[in-house]
Amino acid sequence: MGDISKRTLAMLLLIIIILSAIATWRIVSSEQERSNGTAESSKQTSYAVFNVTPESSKEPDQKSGLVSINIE
Amino acid sequence: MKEISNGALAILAVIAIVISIASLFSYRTGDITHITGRAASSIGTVSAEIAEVSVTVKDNIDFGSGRVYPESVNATLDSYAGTVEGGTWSPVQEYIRVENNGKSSISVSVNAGKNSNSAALIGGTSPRFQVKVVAEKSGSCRGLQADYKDVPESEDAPLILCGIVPPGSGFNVAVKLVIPSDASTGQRNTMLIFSAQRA
Repeated sequence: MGDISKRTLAMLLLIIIILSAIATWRIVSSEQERSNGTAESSKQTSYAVFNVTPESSKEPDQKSGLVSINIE
Repeated sequence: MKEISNGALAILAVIAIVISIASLFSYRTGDITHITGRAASSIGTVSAEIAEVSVTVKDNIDFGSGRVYPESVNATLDSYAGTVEGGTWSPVQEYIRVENNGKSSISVSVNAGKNSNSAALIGGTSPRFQVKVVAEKSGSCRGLQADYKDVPESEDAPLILCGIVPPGSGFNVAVKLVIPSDASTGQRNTMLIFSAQRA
């Protein structure tokens, strides 16, 4: 098998580097997306709790007591 | 050590490229199944029990019958002190009992019933219809109305008697009436409307 030129070898290594960089970027961006998803879920849960509580608190209970007097 | 040829290096490089490409397309970002905190859908259900606000009111205050002394401008009846000044009524020491029988702390406020403020209830010149809180033990009523204050009309802003009443606690409400000498005679009955709300 004949030798290839140093220039060809350099090109092959460059391709390896580029592909590795792309793969790394995809993994990192995927982790970021997963993190955002978790944060968004937490936010929605909080909304649900805060929406329910104040509405329920607006239901007062009323009772009455009698005061009597007779003026002659 | 014998040096490796450029051809062998090229073969290694090609193998590395093939492996890189294969791993690049075999990694599917939308197919994470092992570790995830992300919601699988946009709808989630959260169940929470909200304790019901509940208050009980017991006992009434009946000042009985009497009249203002002829020489007096008015008569003052105080159900806390159990005193009568300027009139013939018999002293009564009675309270209206308010208790929190719910599961959460509440605030309690009061209004007069419809057309039952001091002028409508008693009449005459400068009548007074007032209430105050008597707490039997510390902690049973925080932020209490400790001094006599006029009972608001039903349409007015309520008078807050207790800012915080813990579950299972309660307090007593005393009433003071000032009956003018020119008030018309007759039987008067009025309702104090107690409203409980989550504190």
